[in-house]
Amino acid sequence: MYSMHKYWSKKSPDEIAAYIERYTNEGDIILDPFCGSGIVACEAVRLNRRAFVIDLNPIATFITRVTLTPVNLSRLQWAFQDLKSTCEEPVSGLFKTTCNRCGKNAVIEFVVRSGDIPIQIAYSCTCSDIRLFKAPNTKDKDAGQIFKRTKIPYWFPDSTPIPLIQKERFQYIHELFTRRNLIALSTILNEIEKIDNLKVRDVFKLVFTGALAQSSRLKPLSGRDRKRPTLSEGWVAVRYYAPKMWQEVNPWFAFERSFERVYKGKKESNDKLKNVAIGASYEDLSKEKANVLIFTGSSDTIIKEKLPDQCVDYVLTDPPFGKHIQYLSLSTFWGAWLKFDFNYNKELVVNPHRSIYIEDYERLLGDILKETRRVIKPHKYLHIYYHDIHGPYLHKMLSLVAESKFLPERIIHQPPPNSFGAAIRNLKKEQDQNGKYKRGHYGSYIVRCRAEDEPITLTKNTSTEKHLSQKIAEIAKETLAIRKGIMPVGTLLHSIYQKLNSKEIICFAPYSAEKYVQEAIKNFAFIRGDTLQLTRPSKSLLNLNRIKIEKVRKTLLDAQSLYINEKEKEHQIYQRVLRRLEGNGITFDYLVKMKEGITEPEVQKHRKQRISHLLFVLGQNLKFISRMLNGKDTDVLWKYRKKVTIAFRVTDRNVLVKAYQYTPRGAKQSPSEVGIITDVDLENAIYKWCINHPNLGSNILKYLNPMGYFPSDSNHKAPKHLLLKVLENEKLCPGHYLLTLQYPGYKEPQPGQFFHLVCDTNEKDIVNDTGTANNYQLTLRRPFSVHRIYYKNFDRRILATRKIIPYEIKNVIKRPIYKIDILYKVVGTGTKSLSEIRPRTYLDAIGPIGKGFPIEEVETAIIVAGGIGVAPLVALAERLRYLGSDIILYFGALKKEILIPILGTRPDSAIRGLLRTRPDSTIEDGFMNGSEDFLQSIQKEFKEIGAKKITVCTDDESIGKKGLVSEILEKDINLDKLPSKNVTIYACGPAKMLEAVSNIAKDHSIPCYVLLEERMACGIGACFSCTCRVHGKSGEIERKRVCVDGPVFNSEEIAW
Amino acid sequence: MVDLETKIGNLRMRTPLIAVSGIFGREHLNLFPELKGVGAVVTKSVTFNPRLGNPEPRIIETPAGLLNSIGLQNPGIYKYINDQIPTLRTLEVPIIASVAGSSVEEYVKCSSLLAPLDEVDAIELNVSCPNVDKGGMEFGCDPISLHRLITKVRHAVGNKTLIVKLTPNITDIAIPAQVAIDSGVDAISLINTLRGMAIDLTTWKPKLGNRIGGLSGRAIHPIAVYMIYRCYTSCCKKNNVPIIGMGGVSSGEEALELILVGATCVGVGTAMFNPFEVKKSNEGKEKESIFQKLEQYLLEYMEKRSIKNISNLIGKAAAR
Repeated sequence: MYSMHKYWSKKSPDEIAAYIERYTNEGDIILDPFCGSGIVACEAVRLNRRAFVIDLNPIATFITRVTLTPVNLSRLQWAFQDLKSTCEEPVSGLFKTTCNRCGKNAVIEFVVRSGDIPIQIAYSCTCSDIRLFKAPNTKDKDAGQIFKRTKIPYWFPDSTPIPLIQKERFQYIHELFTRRNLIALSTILNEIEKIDNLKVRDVFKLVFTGALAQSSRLKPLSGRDRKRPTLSEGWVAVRYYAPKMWQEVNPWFAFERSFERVYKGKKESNDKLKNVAIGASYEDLSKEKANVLIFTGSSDTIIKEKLPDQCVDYVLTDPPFGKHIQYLSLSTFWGAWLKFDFNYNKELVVNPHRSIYIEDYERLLGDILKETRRVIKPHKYLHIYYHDIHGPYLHKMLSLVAESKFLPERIIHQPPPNSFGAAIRNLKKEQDQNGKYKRGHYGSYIVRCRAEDEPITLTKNTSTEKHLSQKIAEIAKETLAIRKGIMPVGTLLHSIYQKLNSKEIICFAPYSAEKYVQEAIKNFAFIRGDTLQLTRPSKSLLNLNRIKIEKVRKTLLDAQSLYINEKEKEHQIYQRVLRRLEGNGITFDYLVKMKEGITEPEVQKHRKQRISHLLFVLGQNLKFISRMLNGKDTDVLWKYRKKVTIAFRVTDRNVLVKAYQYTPRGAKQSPSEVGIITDVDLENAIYKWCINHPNLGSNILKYLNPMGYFPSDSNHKAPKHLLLKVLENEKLCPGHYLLTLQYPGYKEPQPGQFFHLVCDTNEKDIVNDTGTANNYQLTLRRPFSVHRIYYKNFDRRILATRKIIPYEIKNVIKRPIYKIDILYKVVGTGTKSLSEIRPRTYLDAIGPIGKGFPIEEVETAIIVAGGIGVAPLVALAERLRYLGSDIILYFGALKKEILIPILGTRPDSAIRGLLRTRPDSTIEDGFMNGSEDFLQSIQKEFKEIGAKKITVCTDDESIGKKGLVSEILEKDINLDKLPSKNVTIYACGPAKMLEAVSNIAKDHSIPCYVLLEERMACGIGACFSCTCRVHGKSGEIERKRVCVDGPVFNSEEIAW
Repeated sequence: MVDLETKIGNLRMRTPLIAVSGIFGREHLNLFPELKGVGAVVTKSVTFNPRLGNPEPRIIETPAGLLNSIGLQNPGIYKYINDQIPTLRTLEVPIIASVAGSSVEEYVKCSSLLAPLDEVDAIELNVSCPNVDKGGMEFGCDPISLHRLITKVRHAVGNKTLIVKLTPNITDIAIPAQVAIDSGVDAISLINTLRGMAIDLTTWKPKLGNRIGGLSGRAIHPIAVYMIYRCYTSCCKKNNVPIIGMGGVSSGEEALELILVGATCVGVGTAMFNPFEVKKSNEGKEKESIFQKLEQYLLEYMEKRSIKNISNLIGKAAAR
């Protein structure tokens, strides 16, 4: 309902309603001395308050009155149909043309004109649904001449001068219309005047004013396509600007559109505004005979005449500001047609053309505020909008407010509401990454003032002033730091205004804000034009605030490089480069000292090339121009514009770093030696950096991997579909088999990863009813962990003989793999079928799948295995031995078959313990029970790789100790039998054993990794069959897939 | 030339073979990057909020079949749109998004989020999951709420191709099918899993964590054939609504069976757990995905009988 008419600076009704609801109760009287299009009045009525609104502009009060007054909608429609029948024909008679398609007569919608010459005609014809365009022919061009001679049949404003805003092309209002349009408009206006019903007539007058701007010369070309203009709204500017290219719109079309808008608005206002009663005097309001009073006139005199002392509960107003919008002068455009009189003398505006200056403005606003103070009840609130953000009026307004015995409490920033589409869109466009607006800010301020008994004295309170100055300086520093050292002054003021309390506002008020700010920030910044800049970055700025330093630091670094003196520039950038190196994990330590290089023949071979590569890639990632050269002096060169050059020379033992600086003219200065990097440090530093930066880092690793240096990151590789040749399928002992597969070397499995095997070969085809072959009998594949990995030309038994692992062995994992072992136990149909497979057949496999064990250099690895769960741990132990860790094995098994306790039977203690923790163990019994042969073969394997200590526990004490493996582990830890430093537990076995082990690890704060088993279907993470419960990041339980998110988990992660 | 091109609603497919919901994921892209022979892909059912799913164990192999009880574990619609759809759009096959939920509102919310996406070519309403407490099969079994659901979703998705997946756990499949057609779906998907159970003899407990599950795999193939036959003859043929048939298809013969009783497309589910077949040829060992195998069979069959278009085969066995 507020879009019925175009009027300037409308506020969002939601915003107004929120203020009214917050500051008044039902039945309170609200005053708005500058009501404009009457949003305050309407919202007040809607919320059951009483409103007293005044405006000097008769158009404004007219719009307010029409919006408020309820009208019978069907009457409106009838009246419109009447108007249509009487006006449409004569008007469209003026706008006739012939259709280019069918040759019949058509009605012009608008003519595009350049000056007075028609260029294009848009018309609607019965032969088409859409708007048609054509170039004007001679007949159309002559039409203008014909109308020059025609007499205008009815009244029109023939001698109202355009009030001067600035120099305009036209002198009189009627010159803004073509003669043809004047004829049409006067016809329509004449018919409107004939309407009997006063209310309906007023509504149609409003409709008429809405159509005026569109049918005048002020209507610019609209629409995106210049060749196909549209008929959208015109004249939203704040002056009488008649564009050179314009549209002469058929006034009837404009009128019709305007009516649609108003009708929609009235429909809404009829719904929303119930019980509207417009009164004539304050008595009506006070006796609740009426709830709205609308007066036209200057606010000070009207308030003086009409209102007694202390009768108003709340004032919410939006006064005009300065010379931006000349309300009255602009409203004349409408008012002339409606025969309104305008009182220009009392307008609250600045207009040098009419010799009204800022002093007059202040005086008048002061008078109005004083009158407002008189009528407002004590300690009630005045909210006054202020949105001339760039003007100098805020502090003047504040002092005026203070003089009128209002205490300005807060300055609130009100961003534009969401309904203001364009404003919001602009705002979002202008946001930078931090969500701050690039240029100034949008919206308006609202000053909250409380009515006080005494006038507020604006004194220079020195202590407050000092405090204020400090505060401003602090805010300025902070915002400058975030803004990279440069920003509009408006932005600073914006952040200052919102943080002031009433005392500070009073102190702040008498001065121009900029001056105040200038004084406060003179130590570190200056104002040039509209922008505020850092003079030069000082260290004190960096030490601004401990908490904020991280946020500030980054941006200040950039700011520094931009705003330092010319002389210091190079030095600064040089420093910055070093800082960047530091920030990327390369510390200064190795820039100073030279260490003994390692002289391994293998490393030496490609060393120079490799390090050059590393430096080259690192340089690129540090945003240098990085080059690899083959010069005598330089191997790698990093350049930063023409400021700094860093040259690296890779020698036999170390890397020499030289840095060149340039003179301001660009000449190369003699190099200064920075230092020496030993290669091992650099590689480690870079490798660490790569790991910590997953996106860039993995790319670098990929890039470097052809050189064979870094271990491949298996976790990120996707599993492959393979056909593996069976070399052996040996029966170790009853129920346990060892499957040996030939392995193609191109993707090495890691300990803990598994293969998804079809437990069947494609050799024995099963024939179904329809007579064709279906390959496999089993629906699902089965997952099997890698038990052992064989590297070419290496016998692992050497591990048992060496106490300290030599360098060659550490590099074994880089060798190609030629076969793998899989250890399995027959538990179901799948494993049974697998056990029947003969050598030299092929197995269908997907793998290696999953994340393997995280292999770190640990001093001691405690390996806890339950039954067949030992299978993946052998590969792990072997790998850990290569890295020089000590292995301690705890291996538990049950020799007896677990049976469900049937009443009367009493299983012995070990089994009872197991059953107590998990009575329904099904997979577990497959895990746990093992024969004597099996236990011995496992012991043998661990001895081969040189395990330090092997503890075997069984239920019947036949081999090793008696009891559960977790119980024995805990006992040993409590008795300090195990080393306490740098220990990690790796475990695999039945779920209850893993839970017990992870609890032990948790109690003694030892890192623990467990390998889980679950029934799997797809094995590649698509089907979500093999999930386990884990603790999510935010604490709640999640389900992760064992196949791809595991099978190795950190035990702390799992929700047992 | 033999033509396998098929159309469902606005959805054009190279072949009538579909990778069905819950089994195909973006992870499969690593295994068969080109997706030869696949006509379209149905993603795992997504609900509005993330779901944890049912307790483990969730999958049990039975003779000639598979019992599963995943319980619609999924990351929720927003993650689905943000994470999974961008990866899947790299595929050159159409994507059908499967939507599940516990209330009409949830279905509507999800499908109205998915409908405007260009990457999603069609939406399948899963009203037949046997493994969740609320929603799921309730809608598939109750014609009135099914009607309400489909009309609302249809309203929300506009012209998007809408498919409904029905449950076989019902006396007469023709009733929900007729209701779905009347409420405006573009195609019907038949059949979801059948309810089933398996018991551990050692512990005297059900093998599945959720006790009951849904049976799929070769065991349910004859049921699927009957259900499609019933729907095709009773309502789908009349109303010219295509059927996406699925249930225990692992070979070309089984796929052809479904087409002959009225299925326009054939979905492959459980068989995808073994997605490859290794062929011995003169040049050595070659592997072939299940979809290539089915496509090859259909092409050869049609060529042998000189049938030009796959649509000439649909429903031939259903005519009396």
